[in-house]
Amino acid sequence: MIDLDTLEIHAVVTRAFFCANHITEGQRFVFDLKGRLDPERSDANLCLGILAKLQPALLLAQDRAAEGLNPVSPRFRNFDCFDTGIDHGGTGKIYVELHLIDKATGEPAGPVVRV
Amino acid sequence: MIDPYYVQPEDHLADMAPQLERALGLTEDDLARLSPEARNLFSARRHLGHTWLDDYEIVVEVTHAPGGCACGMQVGQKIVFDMRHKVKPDLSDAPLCLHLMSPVLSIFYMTFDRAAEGLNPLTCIWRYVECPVTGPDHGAGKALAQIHMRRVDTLEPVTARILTQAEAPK
Repeated sequence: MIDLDTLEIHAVVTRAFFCANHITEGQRFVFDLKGRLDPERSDANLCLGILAKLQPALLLAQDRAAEGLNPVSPRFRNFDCFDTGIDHGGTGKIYVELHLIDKATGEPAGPVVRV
Repeated sequence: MIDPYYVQPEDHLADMAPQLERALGLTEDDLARLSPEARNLFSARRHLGHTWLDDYEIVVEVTHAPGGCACGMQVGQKIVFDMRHKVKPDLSDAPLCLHLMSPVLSIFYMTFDRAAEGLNPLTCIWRYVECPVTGPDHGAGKALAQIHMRRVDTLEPVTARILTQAEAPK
């Protein structure tokens, strides 16, 4: 059984350009496994254009956790925001990668596998 | 033929280039690269003023939370966004539940579209959202919220379809 309260998901920005909300590479969004954003521990501006894109990933994380799997899927861990970027009709864009973090240590959580 | 109301092909937003360069780092070359649709987006400044994005904010207020919500939403709590769809955590007293916040993005797309049309940015139709997590109780426990737009300086709701001189940003 996975104790979800000991884990959190960090969405770390891996690339950004022309972002109207001034989000830059290396910044992060921190979530608990219920899907709540922690504004105190997130250092990126809290832009709904990327946050809303992550909502299905947080549902997926809950499903995987319920199966005893690592909540962060190895297949669905990279996301970009809804803006399509300057060369595709939009303006800016950011990309994030999800990481499962041990809340107590702040380090990447070890592999979580079904027991 | 593009309707004369909208940004024309040769219009590269020179009148707002300094602001866009400061805000986004867009050079003149970048502005020329923008699609007509993106230039229409920025043209909202011509209709509502250069500071419209800073003069208003969107308030999502929880109106119904009968229990069963794992994120702990309570009636009366609020999540406040700026007009660039960023959460304002200092003005928000609700848990920043991603499930309840996600449907609000559609409303922000409407704000940009409506602003480019010179209208009050807040949709006249889609002012209610609900948590998309339903569950076996057919959603009986989910949180529901109502949305309004208000001025940043006075916190007064802004309801006019066309922003009057008094309501429009200086």
